[in-house]
Amino acid sequence: MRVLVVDDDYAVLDAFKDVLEDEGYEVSLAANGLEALKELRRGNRPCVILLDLMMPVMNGWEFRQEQLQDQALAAIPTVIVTAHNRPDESARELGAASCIRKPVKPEQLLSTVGRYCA
Amino acid sequence: MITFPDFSRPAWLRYGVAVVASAAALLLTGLFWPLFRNIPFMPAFLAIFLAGWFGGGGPSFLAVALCAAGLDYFFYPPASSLRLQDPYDILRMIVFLGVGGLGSLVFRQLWAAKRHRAQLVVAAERARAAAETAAGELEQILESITDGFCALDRAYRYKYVNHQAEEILGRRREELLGRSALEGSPMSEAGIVAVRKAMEQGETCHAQAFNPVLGRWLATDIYPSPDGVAFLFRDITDRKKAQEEIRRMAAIVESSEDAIVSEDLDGVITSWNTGAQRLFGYTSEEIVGQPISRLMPWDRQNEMQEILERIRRGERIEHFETVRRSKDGALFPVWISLSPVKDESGNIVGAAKIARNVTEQKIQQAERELLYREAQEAARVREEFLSVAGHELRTPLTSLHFQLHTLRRRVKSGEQDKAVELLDRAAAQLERLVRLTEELLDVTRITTGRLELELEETDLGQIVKEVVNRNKDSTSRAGCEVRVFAPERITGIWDRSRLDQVITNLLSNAVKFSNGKPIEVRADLDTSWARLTVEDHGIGISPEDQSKIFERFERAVSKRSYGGLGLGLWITRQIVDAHHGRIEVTSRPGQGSTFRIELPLKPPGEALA
Repeated sequence: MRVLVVDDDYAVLDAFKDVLEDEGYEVSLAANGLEALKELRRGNRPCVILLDLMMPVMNGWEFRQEQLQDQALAAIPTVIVTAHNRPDESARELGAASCIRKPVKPEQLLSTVGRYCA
Repeated sequence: MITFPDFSRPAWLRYGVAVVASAAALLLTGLFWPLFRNIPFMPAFLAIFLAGWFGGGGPSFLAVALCAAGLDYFFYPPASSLRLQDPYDILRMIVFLGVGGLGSLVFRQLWAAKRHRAQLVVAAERARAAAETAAGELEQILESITDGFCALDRAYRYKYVNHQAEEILGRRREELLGRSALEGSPMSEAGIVAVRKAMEQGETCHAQAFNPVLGRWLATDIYPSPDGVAFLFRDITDRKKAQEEIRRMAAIVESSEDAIVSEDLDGVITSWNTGAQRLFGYTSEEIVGQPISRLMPWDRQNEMQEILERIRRGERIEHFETVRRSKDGALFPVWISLSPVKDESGNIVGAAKIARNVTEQKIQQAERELLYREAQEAARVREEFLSVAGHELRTPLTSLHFQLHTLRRRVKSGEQDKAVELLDRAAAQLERLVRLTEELLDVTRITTGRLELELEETDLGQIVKEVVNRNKDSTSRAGCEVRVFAPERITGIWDRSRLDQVITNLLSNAVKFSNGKPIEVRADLDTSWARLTVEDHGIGISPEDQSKIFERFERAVSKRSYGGLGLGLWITRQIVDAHHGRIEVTSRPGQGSTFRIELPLKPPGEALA
């Protein structure tokens, strides 16, 4: 079970990685959308993508566009994890599986990931 | 026309009477010949007298001729002939003819005198009748005129009062006639003065005054005459009221701040108040009679036809906003209201126009709009700032949650080293929250003017190295190499922690936008200035954004791509300003940016060490 975490904040990436790995998930990290696409296209298909929105180089909106245009990647469930004020709107706009608003608690994140990585 | 019987007798009757009288005299003489033998002419004289009395000179002469011929023919030898034999008879006949002729002449003169007398009588009668008619007509005229008419004798007593005067004065003429006009009469003081003047100085006088007795305005014309004065007067109260009303309206129009102008249906100006003079600069003398189009800018000349067309249809036009031109050619915005002007029969003959300069209102409106936009913009910026601040605070909080979660596990499982590492990382997040909080507090400090510097001798090079070292972790993770070029000891009197903040801000910006390319930080020293440059080779800043980036809440990049409060460069500039220094940026999009700071070694006013 692999989880891809996309966030430009290294502290967030590290903290998510520790918690998810403790629960037995394999974790891939990407600091922006472009890195995430590269990671996905390397063939490491995750059961869920945890996607931040505000990122340099390629932001979450641009990443979703690319992802949805790619037949191989479009179906991967994507959960928006953002500090944005209105995550629901963004999730609907992006056709995401669900959304979590930062600050998120580890239990909440794990239960969401558990839904897609049973 | 009066006729006299004497003159109405026809000529045939008068001459007939003469013939009959002559015949009768001859017959009488013949019948009573013995009686008249010695005075044969007696009946003839009677006939001549009768004919003369009855018929005048002509019949009398006829009677003389007939009687003479008859006497000669019938009574003087030779009989039945007109000849006379006896010289005595001839003499008698001559005497008869002479006396008869003289008598006839007397009758003729008598009749001429009678005729003359009769003509005089007729003429006198005619004159009298004409005088009566004239007096009647004059009285009729005086009674029918609409002015009051009174005549006074030299003792100021009323001797004539016409009907209209009774009406105006409210007295019957019986009450006035023979009474003095000076006492107890319904005449005003001004009227009495004028009447006295006319009477005493023999001048025509005019008076126009309010009569308090009648409560009306009267206009009086007084004419002197040899036997007194006559005066004509009329009630002008309504006219006065109308004049008052007109004057009042004119005063209102004149004193109005607004321009009030009237024009006819051809667009020719017919009146012009002082408000219009103030607004357009033309005096009434200059503009009345001129086309209204002189007040219109060239590009609005077609408005006039349109407006006049609507006025002709009887429409009112309210608060029509347009532009007008003043005498000096200046254009200004105006509000115009127009209404049709009608004559007494209700025909539209022109337009009355009120115009008001709305330049001031326009400016105020523009100011209000600007303030409103600024307020809206401020509200939008605030909203956005709060959203960004929320975002910035939530991210380290998330990390902290997770780090503490893992820490608890590591502590439980006795993994000491890993626990310590997590504590360090948590401390870094805490530090980040502290910095954010400080930044937010700085906004308040700066905007309320409470950014105070703690000045001390500070080594700029040392701070640069400290900051670079402190951020080594994040710069290396971003893949940036940071090269420092700073000699030892660049000392000045500065606020150490604020300079640390400046360098941290510039470095973290450089890292954020460097795209993993190297960053150079340089510091050096002039005689009185220290210089610091932070140069990256990242995305760069467009020229239009370069002026904005030092403003509060501004960012040159999409907030979808780059986090941050948008305060870093603003706070940086405030700190540099507080040190009396300068900050500038040079940048080319896609090639990177260079931030250059110059700081005086000491605050101005202090001597250099």
